Amino acid sequence: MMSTDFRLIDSADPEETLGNLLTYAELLNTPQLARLYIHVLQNGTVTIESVKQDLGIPHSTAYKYVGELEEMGVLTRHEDQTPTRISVKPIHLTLDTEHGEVVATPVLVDAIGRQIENEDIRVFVERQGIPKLAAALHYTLRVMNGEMTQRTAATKLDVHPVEGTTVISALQDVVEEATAYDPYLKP
Amino acid sequence: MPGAELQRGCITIIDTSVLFAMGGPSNDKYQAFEEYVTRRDIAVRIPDHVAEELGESPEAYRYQRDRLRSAQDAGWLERAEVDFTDSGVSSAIDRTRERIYSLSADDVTEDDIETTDAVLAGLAYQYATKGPRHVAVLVSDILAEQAIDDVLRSMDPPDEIDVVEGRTFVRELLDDVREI
Repeated sequence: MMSTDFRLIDSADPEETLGNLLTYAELLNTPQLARLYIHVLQNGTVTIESVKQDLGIPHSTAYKYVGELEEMGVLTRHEDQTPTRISVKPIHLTLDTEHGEVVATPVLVDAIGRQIENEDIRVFVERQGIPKLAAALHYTLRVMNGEMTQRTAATKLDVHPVEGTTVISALQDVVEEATAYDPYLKP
Repeated sequence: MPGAELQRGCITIIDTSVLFAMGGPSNDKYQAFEEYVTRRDIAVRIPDHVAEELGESPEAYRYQRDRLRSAQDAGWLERAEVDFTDSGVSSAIDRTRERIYSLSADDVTEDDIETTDAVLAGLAYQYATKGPRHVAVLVSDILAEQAIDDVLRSMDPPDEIDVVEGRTFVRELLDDVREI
């Protein structure tokens, strides 16, 4: 048996729990923006130029996204440095879904960003939407903790077993990598 | 579980989730697995039940069916009929289902347990009692792996059955390929 216990811990600081999906709507609905956010989160304090290069996105798009993240209050510009560096903080919010309260943290944003390259996640989101992806992530963690099988998780998600196991397989890869940068994902 | 191996010439029963974790034929993991089973003369089997589940999936998941078909066309994977009339086989299935239920979290009801997970254990038992070849089961699900292993051990088939975690197994195969 795997000894790792994957679990999302609640935020220690209640102020961080915004509980307002609208604040982050753009982040959760724009895979490119999600990808940029995760890239910065993974790399610490970085220049906008390096982000642009690493992700291969146009100058104007990079600055637009940086502006949007700043408006959401998750991005800080370090203007005392030249060139200006940026950093982001991990988000933490509670989503009301048909599966009850589901916590959204950077690992969910990462999953959203991966729609660009990952067919399994893209097809699921197109069919089921982001709140259901958040629920799928919640059940993926439980599957990884040995609390239920993938097929049981699919039943609880109310999706076809093939749809459930497809998305859970893909999300397991995301979770394993996310333990490195998502402080709410407690290994 | 570093370096799990499948015996040369064995029959390996896999679940669709293992296939999904490998990606399609263009994926490195898929290719590493195909090469491994071909080189070691391993016969890969998927229970009919599991193949049917895949066949009934939403049209959007046609690409998953195509992955199964590619493996069948390449000749290293075949569907296998589970003999539900065999009392040992049906007992393995019932007991695995019960074991999955007892290992699951409290909010999992008996209705939430899919028989399909347990069918893998039934097919493994069927091969282990009827054929000369060694049998292994690859599942990518730690709870199912535990339940199948517990039940098959307790039923003491003539030849020991290896139950292996499929995701880790495939990833390690790929790591091995990269090291070479």
